[in-house]
Amino acid sequence: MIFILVGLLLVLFVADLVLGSVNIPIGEALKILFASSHENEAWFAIIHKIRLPRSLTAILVGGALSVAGLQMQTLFRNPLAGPSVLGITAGASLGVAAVMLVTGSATTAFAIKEMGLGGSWLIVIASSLGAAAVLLIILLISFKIRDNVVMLIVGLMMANITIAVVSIWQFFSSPEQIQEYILWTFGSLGGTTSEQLSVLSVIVLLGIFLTFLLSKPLNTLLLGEAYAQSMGLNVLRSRVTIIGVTSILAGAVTGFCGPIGFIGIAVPHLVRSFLNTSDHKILIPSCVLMGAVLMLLCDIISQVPGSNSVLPINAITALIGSPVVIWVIVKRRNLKASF
Amino acid sequence: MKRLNKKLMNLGGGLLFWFVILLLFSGCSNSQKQEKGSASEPFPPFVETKIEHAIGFDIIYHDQWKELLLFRHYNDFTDTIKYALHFNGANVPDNIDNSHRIQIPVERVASMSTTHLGMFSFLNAEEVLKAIEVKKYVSSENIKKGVEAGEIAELSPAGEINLEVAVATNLDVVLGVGYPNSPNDAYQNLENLGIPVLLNADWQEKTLLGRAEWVKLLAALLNKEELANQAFRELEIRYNDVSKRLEIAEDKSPSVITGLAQGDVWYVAGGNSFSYYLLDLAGVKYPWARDESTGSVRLSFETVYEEGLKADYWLVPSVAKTLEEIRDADPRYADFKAYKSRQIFNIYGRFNEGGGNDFYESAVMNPDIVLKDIGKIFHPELFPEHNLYYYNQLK
Repeated sequence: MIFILVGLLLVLFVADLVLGSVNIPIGEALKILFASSHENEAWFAIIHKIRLPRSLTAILVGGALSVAGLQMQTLFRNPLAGPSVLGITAGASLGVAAVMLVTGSATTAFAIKEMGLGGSWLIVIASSLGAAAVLLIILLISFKIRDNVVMLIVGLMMANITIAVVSIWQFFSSPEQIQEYILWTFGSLGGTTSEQLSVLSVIVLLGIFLTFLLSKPLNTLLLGEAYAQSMGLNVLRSRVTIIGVTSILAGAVTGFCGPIGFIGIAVPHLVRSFLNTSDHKILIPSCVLMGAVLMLLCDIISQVPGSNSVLPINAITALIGSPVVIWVIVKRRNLKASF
Repeated sequence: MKRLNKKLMNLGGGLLFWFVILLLFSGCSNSQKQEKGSASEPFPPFVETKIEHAIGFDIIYHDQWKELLLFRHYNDFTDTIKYALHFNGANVPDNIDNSHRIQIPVERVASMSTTHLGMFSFLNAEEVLKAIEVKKYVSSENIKKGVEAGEIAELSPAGEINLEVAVATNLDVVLGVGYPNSPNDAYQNLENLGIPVLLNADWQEKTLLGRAEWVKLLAALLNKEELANQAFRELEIRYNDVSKRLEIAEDKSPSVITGLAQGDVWYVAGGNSFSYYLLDLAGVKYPWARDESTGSVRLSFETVYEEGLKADYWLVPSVAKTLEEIRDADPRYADFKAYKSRQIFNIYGRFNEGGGNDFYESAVMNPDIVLKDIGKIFHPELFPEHNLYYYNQLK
């Protein structure tokens, strides 16, 4: 299974580099990729400066969100959990909206402002801070409340609160001002520059590594908290670490690429269905690979190869992925066994 | 219900008025029963104006009233809205709705778009402007001072039209903006309160002169057609002079791209858009000239990137004001030919901190200067004496 995924990943990675709006002959594209010689300067730049960073971003995003989703589903022992349910994505949105607000003048204190440019780093930092702020509140609550179902509800409510604040800002903003924010919410893999990509990759790789270290507590948590406690697991510390790692992964991805839905919920289900295991030592690397594969596939589709246009990645992930998940779950019917 | 009340009030007011008249001239008795004055007193004849460039409106002159027609081209359907501009007491056909009757000359006007503001000074009629949408978008110093002095009201400082301010300002007419998402409910409320709203759609004009010609609509409201005709003729002459100078440059056609990417998407000016029309005036080579859309076209980043690597010019990179801003937004922009040769221009030659831009204000009535700017950008040798006014070269 792992080998199939690795093979798929490589094929899709190359396909993503070769296919795009600008029609580059496959032979020429492969030559640009694998031999350093090239004849067409523009094609070389397009593949190296546009498609390569985007494909790498897709792989990182897919891996990070899937692993974050897996952890949330295990922690809450709920198949509907995902990185967005804790309000982390909503917190990131709040941060972004807040940046757009601060750059406005005093008279428009309640409006989302057009930020101008050069705000890309600002957006990343703001959304990470927004995600962290929501996370901090949830962590504080999690010290008090031991019940995971209650935590899940608290997370959903936090998400609702932040969404409400953002919508108040939107209400007081003019349509042109909202546009930038709306575009951010569509998600984007192509906006990451090479600098941002290196930061993102460090965070994501670190997050995935930490998750891997957590696989034993995650396995134990699946058996129920009481049981986990009797096994000698420090449930509180595990929970805090899991939530922390998840929000770093989801917060960073949301910051760089906007809120990208579906992957976090769907990939863990796909992996569990195919592998028929609930051992996180296998699930985690499989989720990384499956998430990356799915994200690459969605990216290729969203580029609508051969056309001049693109589709929002956020819509594609849900549009392509949801039927797949439905099909897998209906076919396998082993969902309940995992929780 | 509100409208009915308003009608009754009009009727009441009219009766009271005639009662006073009757008291003063207690001679003539029962001949004055018409609701609003009589047709017997002669009205001065109208000076007519002809609409030659604009496609969004027309004026038909009748004996006692002017028929103003506003055409909507911007929805899926075309639609005509009819207004009657008339002197007090003139006979207006019954089929024109009460809220679409405007007594001229109007004396208290509100404008909901900065694109109208230049028209008031063009007609020497700045004193009739009594309300604007919001001060922060205004570039004109005179109008800003007027707002500060309390002579000009702000109708929607918080984003929505404040009906109480509108009523208190005692407006004769509101120059609204008709666009697909225009705040029609708010306009409806104004009309219910007896303030007619003209849904101007000057933005849908396809030419610079077409946009400027909306000044004739204001002229009709102010009964200043004579002045408008003469001033507009002079404007046409100035514009055509610049246009003729550009004809010599036809032989070469510099290539150009437009807009700026937002994530994966790059919106460029469509082949039938006003932005491309402006470029076309200078005779440029534009990769998407054959496109049919009247607005902007969604393209993928790499599609435009490929063209950007070789285009000589780059016009209006969104809100970017410096080369540094462009580079910070995405270092890949620095690969562009126009970036390397510093041939990037935006429309921030005259803007203010509040977000207002004179390009959307006085430029409407200065199409000759706009054209000169465009000529200067693409053919600097033809306009050695001209300095960019509305446009600005990024540094």
